[in-house]
Amino acid sequence: MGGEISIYNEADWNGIGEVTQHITLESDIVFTSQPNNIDLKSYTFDGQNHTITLPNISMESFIDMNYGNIKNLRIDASNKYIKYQRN
Amino acid sequence: MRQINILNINETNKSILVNDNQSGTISNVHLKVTITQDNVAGFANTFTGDLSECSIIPATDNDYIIYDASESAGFVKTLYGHMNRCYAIGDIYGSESCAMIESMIVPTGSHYNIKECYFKGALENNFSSFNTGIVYYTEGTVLFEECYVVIENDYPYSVGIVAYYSLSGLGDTSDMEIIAFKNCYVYGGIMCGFMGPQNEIVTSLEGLNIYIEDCYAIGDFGLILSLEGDDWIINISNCVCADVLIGNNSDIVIIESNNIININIIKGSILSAWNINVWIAGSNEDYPMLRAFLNIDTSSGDAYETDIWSGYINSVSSPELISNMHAPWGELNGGGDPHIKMLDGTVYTYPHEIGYLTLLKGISDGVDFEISCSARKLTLQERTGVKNVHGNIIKPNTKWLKDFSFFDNVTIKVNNDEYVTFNCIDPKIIDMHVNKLITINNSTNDILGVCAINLDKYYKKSKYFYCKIINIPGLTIVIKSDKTTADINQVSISLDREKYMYHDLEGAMIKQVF
Repeated sequence: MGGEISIYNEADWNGIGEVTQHITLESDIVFTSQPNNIDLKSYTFDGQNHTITLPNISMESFIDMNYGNIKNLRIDASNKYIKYQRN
Repeated sequence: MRQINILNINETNKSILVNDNQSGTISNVHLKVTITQDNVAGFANTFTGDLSECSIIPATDNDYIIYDASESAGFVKTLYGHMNRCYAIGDIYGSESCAMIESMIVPTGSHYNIKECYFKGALENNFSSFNTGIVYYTEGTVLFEECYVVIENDYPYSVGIVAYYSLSGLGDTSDMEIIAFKNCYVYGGIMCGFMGPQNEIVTSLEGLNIYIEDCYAIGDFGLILSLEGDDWIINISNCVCADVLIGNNSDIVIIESNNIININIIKGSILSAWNINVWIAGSNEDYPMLRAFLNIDTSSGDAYETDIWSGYINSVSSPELISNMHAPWGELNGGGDPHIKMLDGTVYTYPHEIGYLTLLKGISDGVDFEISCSARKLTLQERTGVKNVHGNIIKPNTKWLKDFSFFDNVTIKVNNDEYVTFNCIDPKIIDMHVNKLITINNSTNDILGVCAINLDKYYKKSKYFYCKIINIPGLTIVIKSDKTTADINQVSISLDREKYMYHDLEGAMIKQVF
């Protein structure tokens, strides 16, 4: 897709490197490890209403942005271990 | 046994998605998580920019979005920007946590808007500190418009919209600053609807104006929990509060101040404490209205001489109320009895020497009412001239459709044809202030009856009444007919959840017109 970085999977995400154009998410991604940090700068990350599922590990946030835009994204951070139970 | 899903967030940037101190916009981003750590936010820790059409829901359905965490926020810890059309649905168990924004910091001379945002869930804590639905703390001028909060619990220290607030710059009084609420609705919450006490470290908020317009609050403490300190300017107009507790310093506005400089209550605000104290419990209380007044002006020493409240009341729909407010205080108790209180909260009162009052609206217009008089029998004269209601206390046996959720679509069918479908977030269909009428026709187009759908967003009979609370912002439906049940049994009201289906007008859905 011209003028955009298309992301299909975890490897694509982790290979983004320096962002020089808009990013679009073309499919759902289930991350198995901490996603690489990306610096979105003033570009747009369009999730196209896809879902990224975060891993069951100690997480860090992973997006920098300087007047950029994150839109149309679903984040599933629910697949986590059960720490304890409560009545 | 409840299972809690835990997301372990590294402490570096204290958020799930965006690193700290970033800027831009976040729109149409939806997060499913249960935050279980202190000082953590869903989207970003400190963020400059706007949020729009975002949401947070629990990791597990019907569970917590924040659990056992203090000073955490569903969206952003500190936001420098606007927030529009965002929602959070889920419970909070924590301390000083908020479903959306923990702090909203507004530069002096600027303002931020929070519009069309809503929260629904329980606000639980064991820490004697507030949890809130929309924002925990604001600093500077913030305008809340069309925000909805449904608090689904009775824990103390739960606040619907804002817990703490301050001037920008913590005491900079060079600019007049505002915290304003317009068309906002809060249901539930044991402490207060909209605002808790101001920031504890601020001793003077001179220059801060509070505007609350066209707002509704159902909860024990009404609009504002407590205002401490001096120099408040409070403007309340067209507001309705219901179910405010009485008898324990829980009037609509509890003000503890040494110098209240201005309180404007204008344009027909209906305040529950007034209704309860004056009109319902009036004959058994020692000047309950006066007591409310004293709560406001207790330290001024001239409560009997100062006319703060009556001077600013401008009620169009119940001019008799104005008359009574201007009456000498000693006559207030008698002036409030007898009365007619309409379903929408409007109170019509009249002197004892007048034996009847013609309602401004006929019953067929969808007006419900209760009427009482401790002194004598009453006769209600409906405008058609029919006199058939007698007694000291008359309460039509109206029941209520209940337990809507925010997303329920309500469908009304007449003769199996869909008449209207609406929900609480569709303002084009729901007109909160107008009773919609449905004419019931049979196959030959004879009029069998008239149904009035009373979209009345603030009324409930009692906390312990069988109908409980209408637990969505803005919707009560009453269907009533001047015909028998058999005549109009083809009317149905249904929600999109099957368990709340109603297929006839018997029982809960019908009110016979006299």
